[in-house]
This record gives sequence, C-alpha cells and structure tokens, in this order.
Amino acid sequence: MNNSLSALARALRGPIMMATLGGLFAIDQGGGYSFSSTWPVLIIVFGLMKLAEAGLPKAPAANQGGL
Amino acid sequence: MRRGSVVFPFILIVLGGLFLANNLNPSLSVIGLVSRFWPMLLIVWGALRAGEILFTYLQGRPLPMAGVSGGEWFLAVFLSFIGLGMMGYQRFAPVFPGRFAMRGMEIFGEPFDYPLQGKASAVGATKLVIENLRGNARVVTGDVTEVQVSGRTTVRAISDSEARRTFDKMPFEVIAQGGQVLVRTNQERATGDGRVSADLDITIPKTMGVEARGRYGDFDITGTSGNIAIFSDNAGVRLQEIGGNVTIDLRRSDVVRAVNVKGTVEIRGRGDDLELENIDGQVTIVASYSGDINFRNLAKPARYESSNSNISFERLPGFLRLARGELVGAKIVGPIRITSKTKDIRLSDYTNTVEIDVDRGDVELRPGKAPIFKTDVRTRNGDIELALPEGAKMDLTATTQRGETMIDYPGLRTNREGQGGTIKSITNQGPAVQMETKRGGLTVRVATGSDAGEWVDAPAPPKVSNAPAAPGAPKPPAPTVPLKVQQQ
Repeated sequence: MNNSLSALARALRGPIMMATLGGLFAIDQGGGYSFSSTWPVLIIVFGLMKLAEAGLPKAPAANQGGL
Repeated sequence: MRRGSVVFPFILIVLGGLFLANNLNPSLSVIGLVSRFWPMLLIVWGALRAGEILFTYLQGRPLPMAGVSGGEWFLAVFLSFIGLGMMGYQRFAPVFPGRFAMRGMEIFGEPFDYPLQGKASAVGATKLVIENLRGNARVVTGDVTEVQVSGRTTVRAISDSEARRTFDKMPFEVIAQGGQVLVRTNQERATGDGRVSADLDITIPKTMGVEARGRYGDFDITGTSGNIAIFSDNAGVRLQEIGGNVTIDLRRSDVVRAVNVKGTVEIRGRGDDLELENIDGQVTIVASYSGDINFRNLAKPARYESSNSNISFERLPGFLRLARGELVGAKIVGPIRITSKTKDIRLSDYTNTVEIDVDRGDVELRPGKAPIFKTDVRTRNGDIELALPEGAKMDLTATTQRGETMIDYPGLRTNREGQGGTIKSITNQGPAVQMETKRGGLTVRVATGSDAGEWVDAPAPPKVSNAPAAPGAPKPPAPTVPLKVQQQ
C-alpha cells in the first residue's frame, strides 16, 4: 500500500467537512440549535482532521536507503 | 466533478427521482422536498466522497491531495446559499396559512395550533396594551366591562412534542394593571427564531384606547373612541371608526388604512400603500410610502413629508392621490405647497394659493372657478398647462427657456425669446400667477366643460375599501380631449 494514514486523513478532510456542514444545517432546520450557534463545530472538526494528519504515520520517503 | 466520481451520477439520479415522484404524485412538491432536505444532500455528498476515498485507499491507488475539489466546494456553497435563502424566507415569512403561502414553502416543519383564551376586568382601565411579537391582532369594541381575548398560537416544529415545549415557554397573559389591560404573548421567551406567532381576537369597551407593539403582523382596530398607537417592524394597519388620535410608527408596511377618524393622525416610517379617508383631525405624515397613497376628505391641515415629496394643504374636501410618478388631486383647499423631485402634478378645483416646485414633471392646473389665487409653479423639465375659467383676473407671467408657448385665453400675449418664450397678461390686475419651466411647453387656455369636476383619470375607489364613499370621492372616468403642448 503506497498511501499513508496521514494522506488518507488529508483526503477525507473535505468530505467530512462537507458532511459536517450539511449536518449542522440539518440540525438548524430541524428546529434544534441554529447554525449561528453551531458553526464553531466546523473549526473543531477541521482542527481534529489536521491533528489526525499530523499524528498519523506518514508514508516512508522513497529510496530512503539504509538498514 | 472528479472523473469516475459517483457524486455527479448520484445527484442526477436524485434529481430524476424527485421529478419522477412529482410527476407521478403532483401533490408532492419538488421545491418543497429540496428546500427541506438540501442539507441531507451535503451529508450524502460528503459521505460518498469519503467512501470513494476509503475505497481508493484500500485498493492502494494514489489518494487525491484534496478529497473535495474547488469546483465541488463552489457547488456546495452555492447550494447552501439557495437553501439558506429558503430557510430565511420561511423564518421571516408570516406563518398563517393561506396568507403568503407559496408552494413548497409551508413544509418547513408542521404548524401546530394552540388555542388562547383570556380576560381581565377593564373597569378603570383606559388603554389596552398588546405585546405580540408575531401575529395579527383584531380589536373590536362591544358593550363589555372586561377585555376578552381569544385566538391561537401557531408553532412550527417538526413534532408535536417540540411544538408543545415551545408553546409552554410562552405563558399567555391578560393582566389588568395601573389603568391599562396588558395582553402579552411572551414570544420572546421562545427560541425567537420566528417560528411562533399568535393571532388574537380582542373585544374591548368602546372607550378604551389601544397601544400595540409587534415585530410582524397586522393590526385591525374598529370602533373605539380612545387613542390608537401602533409600533411595529412590519405591519399592515387597518383602522375604522376611531374617536381618538392615531399614531402609527412602522419600519415596513404593506398597507396603512384609516377611515373615519375623529382625532389627529400621525404616521411615521416606511411602507407601500397608504389610505386616509374622512379624517377630522390634523394629519401629519413623515414617512416614505412607495405604493399608492390616497387621501380623501381630510377636514384639517395635512402635511406629508417624504424623501421625494413634500405636500401640505389646509383641507381636502376632495381627494389627493400619489402614485409612482404622479400626483393627482381635486377639491383641495390651500394654501397648497408641493415640492417633488419627479412627479407629474395635476390639480383641479382647488382654492387659495398654490406653490409647486418639481425637478422633473409636467404640471397641469385647473382651478375650476374664479377668482384665481396667487400661483407659483416651477419645473425644471416638464410642460406647464393652466386651464382657467373665463374672465379670471390675474397678473400672469409664464416663461420657458426652451419650449413652445400656446395661448387660448383672452387678455394674454406671447413673445418668442430664443428657443423659449413668455406669456404675459396684457393688463396686470389680480393676483400674481407665475409659471416657469426650463425645458418644456407652456399652455394657458380656457377651461372646457370636460375640465369641470375631478380629473378624468381620477382613481377608482380602492379595492380594499368597504366603507361608504366619501362625500368628495371621485366620479367614474368621463371622456376628455387631451390637450398636449408640442415640445421642441
């Protein structure tokens, strides 16, 4: 497998942000918390995804050599 | 859209499915479904992209740098704006069924109605205070000694239990205190997102005044001899048979209508249509109304001030109508003062002095019968026409800097001066009549039979009116011969 978990987290960031955005609007429309109250969730999710990118192992550099 | 992505086919399938469902079952609204479920589209979109990426990862193929492309984000934001617009409309639109109902817009949650009932003794109370943020209030009078309120609260929510929770936060109060009776719906205690409104039917003693405050909703008050004060962000106001003074201050309004008011009328704010009829007291309007403005039978001095026009006169036994681009009036008692930026002005059968100053617009005056009073008309760009009764004495001076002059009246002479000309009285006796246009024709003529009475194109009685016609109400249109000055 050529992809690292870090790259996966980075690629998933957009779709997860989009689904979160839709979820917040759905909550707003359903009569729960309004989007004006819940928008910081987007920042938190973005932060978590960046954290995951940084924390998960990156792909080993090609031709690193050595034992 | 990415090559090979399932999102685009998915959107096509969903769209096709929606239209198919709408065709097979016409009662199902596509707009309604989209406006309700658009956030789900974002969720499914994100989930599908995430699924694709996981699939790619598991297959060991190279992952994209960004899971959602710039184009996709653009589409998503565009979709969000449309969806938010629909949500915003729903929140600020009135929720009463049938009033502003648009196909598909009613489906933001379901309306749940709860009855309201209350009463309080009105003995010693002189004023009813209505505090109802959203909703209509109808106030009538009767031979009662208490204030009786019935009505309903409408809560929009996705479930009965949620609606009930919201309703329970808003205790309905009818309280007699300190010389007034307070009717309060306490909507501000709910979430305040505009999904709550209350329609109130209130019966009060005939001598009671009304003070109403609200954010959105109409007020309909009939038959009280007390004072009326209405303050709202957005309201239609209809008043009939009011014995006291009327104060109306609205930030927006579709219609303000007051008929048969004994006291003064003061109107501030903004709105569309305004109609005053049979007003015994002074009328002061400092407001911008952009629709049709109709005044009929005003017994005391009236003043109208807006950003575009200032109008004042002493009395109005006839009518005055301001619509977009024109002001038409008949049977007005002056002194009449009119200043306006852009308006064609036509007055007939008026008495006393007239001052008119317009930037752009034609002016047509038909004083009706002698004597003629002091008249001062100025327009920068427009024709001026004066149709006088025979034998009127005056000291007329009319000038145009660029335009034709035309006389069909004895005792006048005209001089051509450059591109313009002047019209003057041969013998100067009587009040000064001055007319001046920078660019436009001048006509002074004898009033003909068709000039008598009101303007031929006087407005029909307003559609909303169900009151008997005012004494000076205009008659139906009669044919006339238009007289137009040739302009250079």
